[in-house]
Amino acid sequence: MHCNNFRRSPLSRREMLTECATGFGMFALSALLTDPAYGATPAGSDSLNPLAPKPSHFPGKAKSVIFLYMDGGPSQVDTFDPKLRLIKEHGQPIKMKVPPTQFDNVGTVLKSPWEFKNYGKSGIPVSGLFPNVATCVDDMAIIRSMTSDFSEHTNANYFLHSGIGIQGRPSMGAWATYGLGSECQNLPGFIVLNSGLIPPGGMDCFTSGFLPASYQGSFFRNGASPVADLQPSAADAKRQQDQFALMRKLDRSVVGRMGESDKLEASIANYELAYKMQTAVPDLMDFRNETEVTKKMYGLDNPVTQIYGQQCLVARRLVERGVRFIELLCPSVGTDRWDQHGDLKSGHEKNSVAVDKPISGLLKDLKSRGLLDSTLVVWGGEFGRTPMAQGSDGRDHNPFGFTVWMAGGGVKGGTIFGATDDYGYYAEENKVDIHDMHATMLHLMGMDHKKLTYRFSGRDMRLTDVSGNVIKEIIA
Amino acid sequence: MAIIGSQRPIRPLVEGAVVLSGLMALLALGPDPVSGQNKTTPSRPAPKKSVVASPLPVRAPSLSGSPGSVEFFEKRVRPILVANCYQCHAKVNEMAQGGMQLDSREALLLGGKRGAALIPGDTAKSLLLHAISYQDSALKMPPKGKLSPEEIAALTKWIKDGAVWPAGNANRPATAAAFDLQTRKHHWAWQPLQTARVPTVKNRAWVRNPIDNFILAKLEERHLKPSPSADRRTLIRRLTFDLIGLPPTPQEIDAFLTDTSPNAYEKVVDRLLASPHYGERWARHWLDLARFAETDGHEFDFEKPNAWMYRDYVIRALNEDLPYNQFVTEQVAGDLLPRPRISPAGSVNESLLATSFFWFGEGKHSPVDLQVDEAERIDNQIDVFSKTFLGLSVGCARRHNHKFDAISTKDYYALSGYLKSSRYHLAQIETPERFRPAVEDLKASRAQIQPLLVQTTTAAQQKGLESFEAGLLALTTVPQTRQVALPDPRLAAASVRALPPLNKYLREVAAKDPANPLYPWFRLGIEQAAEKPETFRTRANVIAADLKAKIAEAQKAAAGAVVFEDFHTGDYRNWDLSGEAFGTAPERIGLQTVLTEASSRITGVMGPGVANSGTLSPRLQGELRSHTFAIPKSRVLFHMAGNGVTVNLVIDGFHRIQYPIYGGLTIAVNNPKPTWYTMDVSKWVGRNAYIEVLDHGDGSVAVDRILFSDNAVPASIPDPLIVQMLESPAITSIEGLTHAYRTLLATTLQTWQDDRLASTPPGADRIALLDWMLRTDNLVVTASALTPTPEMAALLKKRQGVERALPDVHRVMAIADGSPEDDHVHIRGNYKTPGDLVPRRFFEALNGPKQPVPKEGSGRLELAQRLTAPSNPLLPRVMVNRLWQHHFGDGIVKTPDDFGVMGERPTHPELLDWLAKEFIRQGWSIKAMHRMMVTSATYRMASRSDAKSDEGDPQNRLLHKANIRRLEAECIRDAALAVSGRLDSKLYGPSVMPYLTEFMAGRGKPSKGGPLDGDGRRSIYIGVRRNFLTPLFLAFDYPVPFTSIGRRSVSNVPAQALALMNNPLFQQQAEVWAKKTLAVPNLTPTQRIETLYIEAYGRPVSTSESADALAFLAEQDKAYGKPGDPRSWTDLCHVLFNVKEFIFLD
Repeated sequence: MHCNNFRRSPLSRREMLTECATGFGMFALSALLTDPAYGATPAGSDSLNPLAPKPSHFPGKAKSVIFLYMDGGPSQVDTFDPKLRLIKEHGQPIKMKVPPTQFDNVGTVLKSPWEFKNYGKSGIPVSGLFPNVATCVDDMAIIRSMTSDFSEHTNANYFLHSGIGIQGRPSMGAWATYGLGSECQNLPGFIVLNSGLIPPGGMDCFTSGFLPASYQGSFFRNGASPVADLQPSAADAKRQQDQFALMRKLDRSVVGRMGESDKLEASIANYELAYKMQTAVPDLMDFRNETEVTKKMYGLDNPVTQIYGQQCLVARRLVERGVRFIELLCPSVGTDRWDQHGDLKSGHEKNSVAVDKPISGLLKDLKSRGLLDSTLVVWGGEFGRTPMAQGSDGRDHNPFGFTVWMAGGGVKGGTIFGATDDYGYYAEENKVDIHDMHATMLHLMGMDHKKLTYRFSGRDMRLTDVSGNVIKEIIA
Repeated sequence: MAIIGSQRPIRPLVEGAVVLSGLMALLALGPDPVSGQNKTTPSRPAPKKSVVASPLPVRAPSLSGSPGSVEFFEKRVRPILVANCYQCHAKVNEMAQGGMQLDSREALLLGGKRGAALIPGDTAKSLLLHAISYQDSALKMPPKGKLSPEEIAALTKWIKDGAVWPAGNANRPATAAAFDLQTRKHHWAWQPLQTARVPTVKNRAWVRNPIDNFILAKLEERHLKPSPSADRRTLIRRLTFDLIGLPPTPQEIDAFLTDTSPNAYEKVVDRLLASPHYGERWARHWLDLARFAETDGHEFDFEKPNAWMYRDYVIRALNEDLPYNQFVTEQVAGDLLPRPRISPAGSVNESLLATSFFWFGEGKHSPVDLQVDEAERIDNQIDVFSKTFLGLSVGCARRHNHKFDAISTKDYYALSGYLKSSRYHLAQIETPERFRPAVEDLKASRAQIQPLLVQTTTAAQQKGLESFEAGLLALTTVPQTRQVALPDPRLAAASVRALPPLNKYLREVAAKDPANPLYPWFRLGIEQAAEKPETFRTRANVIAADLKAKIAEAQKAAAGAVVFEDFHTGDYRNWDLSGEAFGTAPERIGLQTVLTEASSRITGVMGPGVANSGTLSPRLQGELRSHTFAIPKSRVLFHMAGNGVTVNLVIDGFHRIQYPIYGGLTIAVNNPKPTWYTMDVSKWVGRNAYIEVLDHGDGSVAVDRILFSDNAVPASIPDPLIVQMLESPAITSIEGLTHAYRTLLATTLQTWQDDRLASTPPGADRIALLDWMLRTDNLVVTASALTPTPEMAALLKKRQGVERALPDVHRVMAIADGSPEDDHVHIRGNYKTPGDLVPRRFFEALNGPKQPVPKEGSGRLELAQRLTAPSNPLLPRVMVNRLWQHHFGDGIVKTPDDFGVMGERPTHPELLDWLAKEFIRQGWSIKAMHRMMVTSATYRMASRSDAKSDEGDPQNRLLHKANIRRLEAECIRDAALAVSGRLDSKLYGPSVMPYLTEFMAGRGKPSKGGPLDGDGRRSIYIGVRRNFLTPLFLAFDYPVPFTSIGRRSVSNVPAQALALMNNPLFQQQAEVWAKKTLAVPNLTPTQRIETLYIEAYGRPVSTSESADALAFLAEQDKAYGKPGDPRSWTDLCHVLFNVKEFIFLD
């Protein structure tokens, strides 16, 4: 099943292993592993490490990706796609054929409760839901013509994440890490920052599917101890070091008994990353060196924005460490996710307030540190919402036309791409589907989505299945 | 009675397609007057040959053909087609979408499945223009976005001008590249099993059985030497993990090491194959194929009822060495076997249980489109069916003929028909035989009790009528009558007791409902009391006329309804019946009874024609399922009485009926009175559905009638008998009327006693009146009148004993035959564009194009027969390959679920076929195959080899040595429990809830997780909850159950190391293990370390290892501050879990 891309001469690893096991002991190993030269081991020499960086198909600007997943489907007509017609026909029956909706409770046309203003040099309109993000529009390309194939959360989530609307297919983060490896050798290459809301469809949105498990999304919780089984079970560090040292000695005799086997040695090597994570993760979470200004920029000083702000800050810190793909999940805001079947005004407001300031903080912080050019930030949900009301004050699911935006990583800022119809219901001009979005993201990372394949079940599988076109117009 | 036809309705075509099929008919009338080209389609009679021999250039009446218009085409039209259409609709694209090619004029005229792409000169009727106009939500082209107005104008003009196509370009064949089954069948996997000659080898001494000849022959060909045999310790560890998934115990190792008999090894093999743990180990491999899970996943992760029973079925089947062909047959058609296999205890229908296999897929609770949901469900079933049994990846044939394999779209939809004709059945797993004696006893008891009951009830009622009459007279407001003295003091006393309730009833119930039998009495006796006979008569006539009008009105309203079922035929001819509750036929008159020792009474009567599940005992369970019908009207109305019973409407096979969308399709029957229930099905008119009545508990139901209607439930109709009575001129006073009531009711009781209830003519139906009497009997009959006689009490007691002894019912997900149905090809996998109807059959590449169609039912049994027939080489090949893979690390075919062109080819094809034939020869015995494989010299090789052989066979594909393998997730956990002594070897039973960590979150999270150590049970018994899979297992590549996984990936992630280092389970088990070790008295630390090593790795500790461990203990003791600290031992045990030997087999 394995494509053997990563299997090369095992010699260097074995030598290193032997040396560690016989000579230096734990501290020498740690020292060796924190040596920057080790992390920068060029592809080709690191036989056993699936996360070793690999060359891209062509030079790509985005080294890392941050996907800001907006759980539940934010409304396009209330955020980045203003529609005059909704104001004009507010309260009237919608004058177009309406496909079956999820809840089948079609109300009248509902104008946006928020006002739109134009921002930046580009003058792009953004609603009152995102006053902070709005200040970054000149760095953003707004795709107003997204479409999905599913009008129901779970399938739409699988589709958004893996390009196929069913359970168990590799998530885009897994594909990216499979394709490029990671620049970071003491953390996983694909990390999901859980702010509280697990999307419908569950952990399978972040699975490595049929790809090797090294690429599965590692889940980091919100808070000080984000990883499972990270806390050493040993009584103290010395106890663990002793255990580790004994393990290594006994392992050596196993290798002596069973013979030199890649499998055995890969498993031994595995402990190195795990061991490193025990310190790398606490280090990641140690914000002591972040200034108050920075923390404030992310909204850490405000309980409403604190959770997502912290995750955005962690995301930047992961980018700095060279982690390939980071996905952020939404925080729970005391009402439903962005899934306002009713009470649109208060529900959307609660959801937007929790993320608006942190996202703008992230974009500005990345930019000021010169990281935005090499970091692709993508914002979006699994679908949008209907322009007419569900009941009287909600909006139902709408996979036919919604908005996703991208920033940084080679994206042409201040751009609007595609358009929906007058109501904002159907994408009409320059339709973009999920495969196109994936193809574009991979392209920005320097990968040809048609060449990024993995043989499974008799087929060369792709993130983009059999479709996908790169949206050249939004690339700088 | 009108029964709605069971034929599948013609699915509505999308608008565009309707237009086009009409167009095609037009076009088929003759050659195109413009081009003179023949544009027939295969399904229509060929039009006359055109007289124009040369197709070129196109001559149109107008300006077409002129150089200008060709130029127009080249400059304006072709670029649009190339840029927007050819990615999908060109000949070079092997599977032109929708069969539609747009790259030649002929192709445009021939069109695709929806008909011609254009009509030259006719812009209104050209599909192409229709599609690009974006008016039709089902057909918008190009899908990426609407063309610009200029582009649309150009194409419109081009078609208007006759659709000119330049010379030299119109002559290409218009049909899509043919799918050539014959060529594709040449692929090795479709070939019949070859009789392979066992090869001769030079080193005959090495050979233990024919497997070795095949392996060694290849090695010798390459001048490679097989590895020497592994030592006994390695072998017993390898064998034990391989066959039962656990480490060998020190005693088992000792026994093997000291056994000097020549068959010592074989004895170990036989012991392990006979161990019940063998089934647990190998069932888990099978569960990977069956995508076994105990919840639906998706948003709320709903429970799959008793899914664990299938897991136990597989364990039992493997332990019993059920022949594989039977194992397969049971899973595909266990419900249809004439003689199902019953468990030795006689309690479980194993064959039926096996069919749970179909239902472990993911399930949605509220899909927007049920037909899409059905297609997805069947797709998963076909996918798992064909991968598991045949190693074929059939899924892509859903949308187009397989790109590489000999599998056509028709093959796919031929299989789909079997599943469309089958249903989800939450089936009782106990055999009917287990209920038979009790049912016979209950029948006998009923025969004795019922006449007595009718007798007591009618007697009590008749008696009560006297005081009823007196009571009414006492309550009337007619002054004269009120003074009439009651004839009998006893009656006076009784009626006085009855007066308040009767009064209340008259004023609060009867007064408000004209259909109530006492309504006229209330009007005439209380509201409009009249003393004069004339006044009385006038008022009575007005009321009678009013009631008659109401009857007429109700009849008119009911006229639009269609009776789906009223059970008048006296049999269940339109229903599938299961369980015991509903008897074998509907009853003419259905009685509702309460039968306890303290009270026995009849509480209601329904009929004529009732499906009654409470006839013998409410404890009996059963189901009725209707045939499949197309929903004809916007409502389904049910008239029924009962409680604790569910009635469902299953549309397009969707059985997970839940809010928010589908909650209205289920009814919880919970009213002992006959009640009308309504299902609003206006959204699904025309769709296929069936009704199921499920008595799955201690309740019962009496179903009287099922109607389809566009109106609300029928209003309750005044009883014509009452109206008739009211109209009688002889009745001129309230006393007269009161007495007439008594007479009417008395006659009604008499009719019942005489058993003439069901034979009364229409309009004189006394059932409703009787039912009313029985339900309101507290007005006339006192409870003491119904106290059972001693004779009755004895009968009731006896009956209760029988009831109590009835076996408990367990239900499992099973499959059942529904209405037979073939499926259409869904063009591009879309049900909205149905293509040809495909009769149900097995793969054409295996059984040819002509296969007998199923005679009745779904035909799954015939499918199973074809699947297991000797003519199918795939079934045995795929299975022996799976067994081989689990014993040797890789399969002979390395892609166990894909034997197709894209899979890997066998390394030893002759061996594969030899094994497959041997498998059949040995009666499909899986254990015989294990025995053969593991007793071979090949299996016994060591994992270490010499450099020369490693160089000659670097990936060990020729098996010059044993493969080193990492243990599966379950084995790692089970081994930790086994060595620590915590393992509970209990077999079978409901799953243990997985241990929930703080990382497991989301909807559907169980309210309570299981214990950290899973109660010490083996991992196969840990619940498989789709959205809450055990993280520890997932870290070690436990498969996500979405499809058949014949080969798990073997990954290396830090989560594995973190788990073994820090997961509380291993910490806990290290402590348990250390405690066990220290509990043995009088051992030196060195001796204890020796034991730990034997337990963990099955081998003695080496001197240096022992020294290292001792040094470690000393170091830890120092830190803990005292020598021999148990914590030091815990730390050591924890390290031993982390040493790679614990999770690797050599």
